Amino acid sequence: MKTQYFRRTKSFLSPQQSIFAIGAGVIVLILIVLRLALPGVFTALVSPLWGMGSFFTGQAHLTEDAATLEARVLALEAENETLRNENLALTENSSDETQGIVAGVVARPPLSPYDVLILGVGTDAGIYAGMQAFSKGIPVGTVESVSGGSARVALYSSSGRQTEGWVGEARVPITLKGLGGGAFQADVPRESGVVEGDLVYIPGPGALPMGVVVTIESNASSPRSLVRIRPMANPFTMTSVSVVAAPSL
Amino acid sequence: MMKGVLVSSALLSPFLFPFAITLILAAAASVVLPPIALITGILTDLAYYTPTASHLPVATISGLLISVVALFVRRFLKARIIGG
Repeated sequence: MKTQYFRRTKSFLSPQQSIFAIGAGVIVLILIVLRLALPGVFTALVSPLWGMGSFFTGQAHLTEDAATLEARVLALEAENETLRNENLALTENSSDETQGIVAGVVARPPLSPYDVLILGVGTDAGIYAGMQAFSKGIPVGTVESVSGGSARVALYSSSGRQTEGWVGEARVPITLKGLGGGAFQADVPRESGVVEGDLVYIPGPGALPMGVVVTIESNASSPRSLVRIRPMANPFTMTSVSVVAAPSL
Repeated sequence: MMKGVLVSSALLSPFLFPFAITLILAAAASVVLPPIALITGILTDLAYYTPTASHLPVATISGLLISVVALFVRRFLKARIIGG
């Protein structure tokens, strides 16, 4: 007589692991409901963890190497005169407006995989969706969602995000395209006269400088050049921002 | 004990560590328990995702991919161990 084999069906998880996975899934489901229905409660739950996370990511600026810093100093020196004039004009136009509501940043890249800042204040402090966020006077993004005690700011450098602006003294119009990680690129006509070190502006209370042209990639067969832009405010080291009402354009 | 620490670290990492480390921890924890990467991805998107910042919930998709890969890796390892 032929021996009968009863093969046990192979399961991916053991019963104990299945129970754990189901339990974790239920907790995540509850968190999804909390995030959608009561975002303030969700933020309150994870805020203590973000406080600890800032300890790990807040020192990122120390990793900037000397060469980068040296290049940055040279670029800043070259721009100094322009900035002095711009600053004078901006101070006259917007000193009251860019003060705004000062908000602490509880989470930032690289903690977040997106170019998003989580602020520690929300509607309780007068913040609402659509407001503009500034880091030391430099525009960095807009408030996308807000709850009682927190707000989420999407940076202009978010991957794929497009922002209208200008570049250089001639104010050549460009469309800034976010690349993530604080970087931007834009297309300009090859004969536009844009050079490395030119300032990039976006609309705000006046034209607000927010980045510097670092490289221009031209191709003889193309009428346009690709401009790479470095932001003046580093999203990896922001500890606080000012939030102001967005200007009516 | 070690497995518990690994899984807990993966679940807490979206709030504590840079995303690259979260990915590594999620992948390591998935070898122990495959759905952990997906759950970590969902937690990350719950905390940080906003449609303006990205068209796709990248963290959830990454977590799903890692979980699927981990399932097949576990299956392969089991088969190898049983088969000798």
